[in-house]
Amino acid sequence: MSAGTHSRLAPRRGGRDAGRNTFGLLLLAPQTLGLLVVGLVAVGGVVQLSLTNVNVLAGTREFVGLENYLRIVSDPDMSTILSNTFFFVVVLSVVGTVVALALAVLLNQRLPGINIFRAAIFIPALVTTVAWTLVWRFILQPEGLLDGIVGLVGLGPYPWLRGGWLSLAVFALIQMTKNVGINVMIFLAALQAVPQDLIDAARVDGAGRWVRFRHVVLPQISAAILMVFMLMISGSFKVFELVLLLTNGGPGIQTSVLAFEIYRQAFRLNDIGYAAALAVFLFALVLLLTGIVWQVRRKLVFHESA
Amino acid sequence: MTLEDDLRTQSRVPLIAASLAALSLLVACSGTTSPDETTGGGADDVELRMTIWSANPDHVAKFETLGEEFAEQSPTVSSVTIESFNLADLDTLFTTQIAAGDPPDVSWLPVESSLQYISAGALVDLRGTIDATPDFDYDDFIPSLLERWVDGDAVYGIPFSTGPLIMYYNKDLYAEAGVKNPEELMAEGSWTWEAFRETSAQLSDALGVPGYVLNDFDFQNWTRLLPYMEAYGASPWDEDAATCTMTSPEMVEAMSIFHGMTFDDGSMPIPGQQADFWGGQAAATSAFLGSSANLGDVDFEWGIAPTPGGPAGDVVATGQASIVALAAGNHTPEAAEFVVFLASKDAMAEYSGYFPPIRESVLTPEILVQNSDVLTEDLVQPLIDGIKTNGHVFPVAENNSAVADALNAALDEYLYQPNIDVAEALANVCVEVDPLLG
Repeated sequence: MSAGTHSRLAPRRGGRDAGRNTFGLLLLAPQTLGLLVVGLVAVGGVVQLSLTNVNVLAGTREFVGLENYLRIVSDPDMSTILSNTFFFVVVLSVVGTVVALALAVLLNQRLPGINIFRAAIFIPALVTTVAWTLVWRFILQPEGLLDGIVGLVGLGPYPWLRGGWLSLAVFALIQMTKNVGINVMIFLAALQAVPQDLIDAARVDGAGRWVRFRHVVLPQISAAILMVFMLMISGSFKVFELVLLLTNGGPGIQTSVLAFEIYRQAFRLNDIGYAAALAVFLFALVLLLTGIVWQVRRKLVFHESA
Repeated sequence: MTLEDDLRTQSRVPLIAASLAALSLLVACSGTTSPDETTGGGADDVELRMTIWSANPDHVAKFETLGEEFAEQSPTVSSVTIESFNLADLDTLFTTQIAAGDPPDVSWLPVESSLQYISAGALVDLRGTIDATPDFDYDDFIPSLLERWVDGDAVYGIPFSTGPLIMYYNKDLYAEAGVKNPEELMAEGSWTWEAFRETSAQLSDALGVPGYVLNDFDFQNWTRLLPYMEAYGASPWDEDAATCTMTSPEMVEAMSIFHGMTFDDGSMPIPGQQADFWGGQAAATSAFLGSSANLGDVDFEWGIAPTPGGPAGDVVATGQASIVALAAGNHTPEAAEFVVFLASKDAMAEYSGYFPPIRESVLTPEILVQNSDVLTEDLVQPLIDGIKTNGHVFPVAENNSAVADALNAALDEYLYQPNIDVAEALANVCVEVDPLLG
């Protein structure tokens, strides 16, 4: 191509950029519009619903102001439901992140056959939650596999799914084993991106294994840790299928969580207004918690100086 | 234009076209999708949808055939689709579909839900259509068994299946265990829950399988406990569904038998344990007559009997379900016509072998067995007598979803637990349920 063509093209570049931008925006348009329609409009609709008393069967809807929100405060079931919800949030985010990190460190080694272990950890993340849960239901049924295993050491049988902390712990285990694979993969990628020369330099300076991990590796992967932690927080608020399939929130409401209560109020008890208020409440909780973590990140995350 | 430019333009054109197409598709989809196209006057193009909670192919086929028949004779209806759903999802299904503007036109509805749906105005009054159908013969229905569906002159549903839970049992398992089966207990005149509890425990001890399992129960559906309750003259609430009566001495006695069989004798499955009678994994079950369709596939010798009696005598614990037209449907006149068609003598005679009717002219042994491979006139005669003389549909609460949810949850929390005091547990159940009644 001659220099002439270049100079001939130069003045047109501005126009072409504008055209490119329009084209880019056009490409983005369906996605953005979809997000707006599905996201904002739906959220607005839920907020609006939460201020009304809806009877779907009768086809009526009356404005009741903040009554549904006041009900959340006075609902005696809420203390159990919220403590269960926060149990999952704390356990799944803290323990889930630590376990995923520990597994990632273990799997971040060059050993023959390591990929088999990596795959074994990752495969549950590919299975749908419903299938995963149904397998666990089989394992946990009375006189089932798990009872058989603990029976070998002279324990049990335990009422795994009959409420109390035992059931919550079992739920946390099921949910964690399901999702840990994804987090391990995120951590593995972060670990492998840590520059080897930093580690080597620390080793030359006489840093031991733990000090190298704590002061070199950990700061380097802190952004990944933060991301996993935040994903786990918002994800653990949404524990639902487990509750629906394994206990229906029961006995009573002993194993119910906020996401399940929303479903129960809306579709079992036909109280859509209250369910909408609960959904807005859940949204606010998730927003608040992730907001707090996001603010704290500056102190904890190595690359975040702004 | 250079070759480079040319290539760029060429490759850009289809891309732009594609994105424009995607955009217009999006606009089209989010645009006008108003569901309520009003019925075209006289055109033969109305498509009705009916939902039923049986997935049994025989049941579905029966209603499909009747739907075709109706569509043929109706000037406006072109087709009827039958869809199956899970009874436990009833409220979920209806509320979502009504909210979405696409409810079924016609459906089965259990008697538990009758008052709630009627008082919400969710059901079509069938009176006008009934009166306009010359040979319908409304008086043929047993009035006492219609009462949950009638309000003054208005008729909101036609019961198509009114019948007791009956005992199905596996003769092979009883023979193998060397234990008296229900038929033998009946012959002895000792067919009571006490006696049945004893034989069930013996059978479980001998074979290691549950002696008895409640069909479709899963510790989530209190109505499956009705055979215990009715035999002892117990009910969860009074006739007006205003006060909880779970604490009555009769209820305590009835639930003690159930609780003892489940947690002390080990003759019934505990929560979470699966046992399928039709697969030969339990010696007996109580289920509705419609479940007899399952017997065609079983590979054991079976018998049927009424559920055991108790201090209250041989009261027949009756469940009921009606066919209703939903007021939120888009074709309510046609839906009402279809309901009335399904409730006509000829149509009811078609499916009465599975679903005992309360239409006296078709509640006969000959008609009940005519479409069944497994039932005989001798087997169904006691059933018919029971429905006609002792049939009693339990009282229904107006806000059934909330009441049933509270009752099921409280029973699960307090009663379906090992090592509890039954009377104390039932007192706790009433604490949960009482505020919702009345």
